[in-house]
Amino acid sequence: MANSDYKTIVKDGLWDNNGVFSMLLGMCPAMAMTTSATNGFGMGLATAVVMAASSWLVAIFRNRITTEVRIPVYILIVAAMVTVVDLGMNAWMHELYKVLGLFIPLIVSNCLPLARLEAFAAKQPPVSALLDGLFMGLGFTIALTAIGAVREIIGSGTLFADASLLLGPTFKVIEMRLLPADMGVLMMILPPGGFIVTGLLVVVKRLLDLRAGKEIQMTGAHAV
Amino acid sequence: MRDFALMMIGAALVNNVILARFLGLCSFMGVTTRVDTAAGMGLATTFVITVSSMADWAVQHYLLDAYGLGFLRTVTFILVIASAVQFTEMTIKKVSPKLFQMLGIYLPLITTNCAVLGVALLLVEGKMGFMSSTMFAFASSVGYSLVMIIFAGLRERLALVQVPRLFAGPPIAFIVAGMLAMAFMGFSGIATS
Amino acid sequence: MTQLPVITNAAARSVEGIARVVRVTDDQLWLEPEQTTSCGHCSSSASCGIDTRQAPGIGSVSSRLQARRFVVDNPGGALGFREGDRLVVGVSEGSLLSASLTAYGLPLACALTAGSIVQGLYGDDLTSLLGMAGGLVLGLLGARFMARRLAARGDLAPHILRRARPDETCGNT
Repeated sequence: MANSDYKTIVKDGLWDNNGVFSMLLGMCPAMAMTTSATNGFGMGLATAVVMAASSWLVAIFRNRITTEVRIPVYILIVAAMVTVVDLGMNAWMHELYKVLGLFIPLIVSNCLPLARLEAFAAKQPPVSALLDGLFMGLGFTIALTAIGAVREIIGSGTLFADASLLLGPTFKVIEMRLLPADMGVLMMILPPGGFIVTGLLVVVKRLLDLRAGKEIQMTGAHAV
Repeated sequence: MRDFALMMIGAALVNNVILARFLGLCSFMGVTTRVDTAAGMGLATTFVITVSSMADWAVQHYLLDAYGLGFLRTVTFILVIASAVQFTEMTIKKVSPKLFQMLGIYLPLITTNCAVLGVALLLVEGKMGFMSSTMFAFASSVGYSLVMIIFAGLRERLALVQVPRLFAGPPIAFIVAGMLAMAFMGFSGIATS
Repeated sequence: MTQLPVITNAAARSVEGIARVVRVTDDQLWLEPEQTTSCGHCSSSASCGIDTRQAPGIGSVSSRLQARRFVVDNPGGALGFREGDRLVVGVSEGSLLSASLTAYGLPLACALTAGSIVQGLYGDDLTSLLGMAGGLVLGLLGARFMARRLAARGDLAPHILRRARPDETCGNT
């Protein structure tokens, strides 16, 4: 039983309930920090760490946190984890930290961590909560890396440029140039590209879900 | 004075909170379905952003900087903003229960959205004096309201259009927003900040 | 080329919102607005993980919605609604804007004006902070006065338009 449970958690987090493409949460970093695949990857990982740690903490203390004060407590736990990540990245991944800048503290006001705490971690044992936070975060990372990759390939013709500089010298191997430098469409790296690529990738996910015979999730469709 | 005006235009149009800095996208995508609701929401957000940036400036200046507690910034700002939102609701209720009741039905709750926190953090980076930082916050939120209203107008029209099923809802809204962002890029020649 | 339908009679439109009957007394209906965080998701979608039926608590959406409950006169149960009914309530279009201008615009304008004046006179951060706070208080007092006038004209009272369709949410008015 436990095994299939974990499987659902993993699948939900990575694809079915993907934070960006299905639930449309956490759009701010998903567009602002995806000018390149590397930036998206770094931003996603930072969010994943915060989500995993805060889900785990909330799940540990879930019986002690009374319903009356739960929201402030969750926010404080997330804020504390964000501060830890913020300081940690400043110390050990300073180049990446300089790129992500403002959006590291803004993880606090991202809907995604808080939504998962309220919907999942508050009711589940620590291990499942940790997994849920981790895989929701990884799903977020995949989404951000995908958006970043599309924008970077069309925009400047490279993929994972500067990975060695931002993530560490071991990542030198994934730096690629796919198109000649003068073929880039600058618009994709500028803000409009963020909106357009995200919109199109949501369509791609719907298309893939449709192919797989699933219902398309029309989240937020009523809003238009 | 000229610098001041340029700074405000820069904050409102060139570095628009939504279209250039990508802050407050949640409410941008969710709320803007009618022009008048968007205008009301924009006013409410302007109020909250300005008031909380006043409070954040005081906290940053007299508490965090004074005692070297910079690392507590995220936690404190979140608390300050949450209190500012609560304060706003309570004051409106005290000022006029009828007004509060009516706004309560039609304007969504303002939760800590990332535009509020984002502007507050930008102000800290800018290291400005009190008045210029408050004016910067005000100008940014005016830019936010402006885009909310324009986008609501676009969506009122969009609601009448036949959109392919795969694109219905958020995807087409994103693409429209992308075009709006392109239009706003035209402002980038006006002022730099 | 097909012409887009023109949005007409803008003046006659009213702004609609959905509220749920939470209590019925002899001659009053207690309504709770059905909403929505600034993420804009309504009761139909649990996407933000925030669900109005969830347990209340400090800062949670449901507790703040409870604080927004309001009363509509229902003399002798004439309207015939029961607890749990979802109703569409409306106000005229202009009054939403004038209400938000009164509540938010006026105090803000006063605060910024007072702050600028004090800044121009003294040029000191702390005094302009105090000046601004003073302006804010003045503006709120002004808002109180304006709100009384609006209320006296009856602009602020929402009226019940009809029963909401089950699939109707606050997003698609």
